[in-house]
Amino acid sequence: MQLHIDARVFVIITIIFLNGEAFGQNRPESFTFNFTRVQESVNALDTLSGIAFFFYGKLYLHVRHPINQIFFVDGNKIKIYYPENKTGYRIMSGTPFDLPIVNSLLASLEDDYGLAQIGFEIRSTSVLGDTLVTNWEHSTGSDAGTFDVFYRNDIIVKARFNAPSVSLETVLKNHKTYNGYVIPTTIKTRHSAIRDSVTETLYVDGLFINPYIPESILNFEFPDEAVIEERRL
Amino acid sequence: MNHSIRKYSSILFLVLSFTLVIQPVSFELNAFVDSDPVADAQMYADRESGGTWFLIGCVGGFIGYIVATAITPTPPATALVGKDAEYVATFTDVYQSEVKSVRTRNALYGCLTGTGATVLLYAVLVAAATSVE
Repeated sequence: MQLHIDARVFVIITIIFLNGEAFGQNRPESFTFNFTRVQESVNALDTLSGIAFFFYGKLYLHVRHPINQIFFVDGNKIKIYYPENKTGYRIMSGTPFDLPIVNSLLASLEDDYGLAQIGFEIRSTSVLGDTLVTNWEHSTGSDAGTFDVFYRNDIIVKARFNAPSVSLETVLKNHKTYNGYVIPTTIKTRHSAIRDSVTETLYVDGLFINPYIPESILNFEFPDEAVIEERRL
Repeated sequence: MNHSIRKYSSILFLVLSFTLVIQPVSFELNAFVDSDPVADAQMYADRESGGTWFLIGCVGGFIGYIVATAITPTPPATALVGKDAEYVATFTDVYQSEVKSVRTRNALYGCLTGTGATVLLYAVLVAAATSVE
């Protein structure tokens, strides 16, 4: 019991005082895994599967179902390639793109769910049974929404975001330890907006930390014969 | 001068906050394979925070409105994963157009509200000063 209380105090102290400094310290630089993402809405069920490589902030996805697609995200640039008909897009934007599939996984590897990095500050903490709950608000005020992050045994098991027009609840479960990193292998997110709601479940399998990544993935380039459309946003 | 710097810093911060917070937050929702890219883009665009751009218009005035028209929205990458080439092209075009429309409209409303409030405040102050004299 004493050990549990001490652990909670440690987590609180880490979150309050190390905020930004703690960001990224416990995240592996690269990993790969097979993914299956299932999305359910009122009248649709959609499954997406393939393999993901995350390395040094970049993301390479090889989607195998429902379409053969290579999706490479590098900051403000995306390369989308369709091997079957050798066509694709190079999209460049003024702001960074989000990282599909790995977003929640990356957030779960941060002590603070990555919130300090995007301007959130801790407002309060409470303990519910064996769960530590931290409440976060953006430094500009609650207009940007509030987060509740739930920790059990020092790992994040749930995150909840509430804003006037949208709410998200992400449940992280079936954690497994890979090379000392505790990683959730099932991430279920329920997204509710005014006009729609969707439940998305990400299943992670065959995860390797700091794997060998071939050059063709590290610096993905379109084949010479490919027909590529360039879009600058 | 310091006031201006603070004002434009606030605008920039709000824009960055939107990019870093609100957009990643909406990453979880993806469009469906057989769905209509136009409808999906409109659905994503509906999540655009009009309030943030209203505030930018209020704080920044006409500059806030210009910022809203100048910044090209970045479509959510999540919406494009597992989609065919035609879907990617249509979604990107519609999303940009819809989001820009939401931003500029709200920034304009904010600009007008902020200007109106400022004019009203000056009117009250002038009226108060006149009655004192």
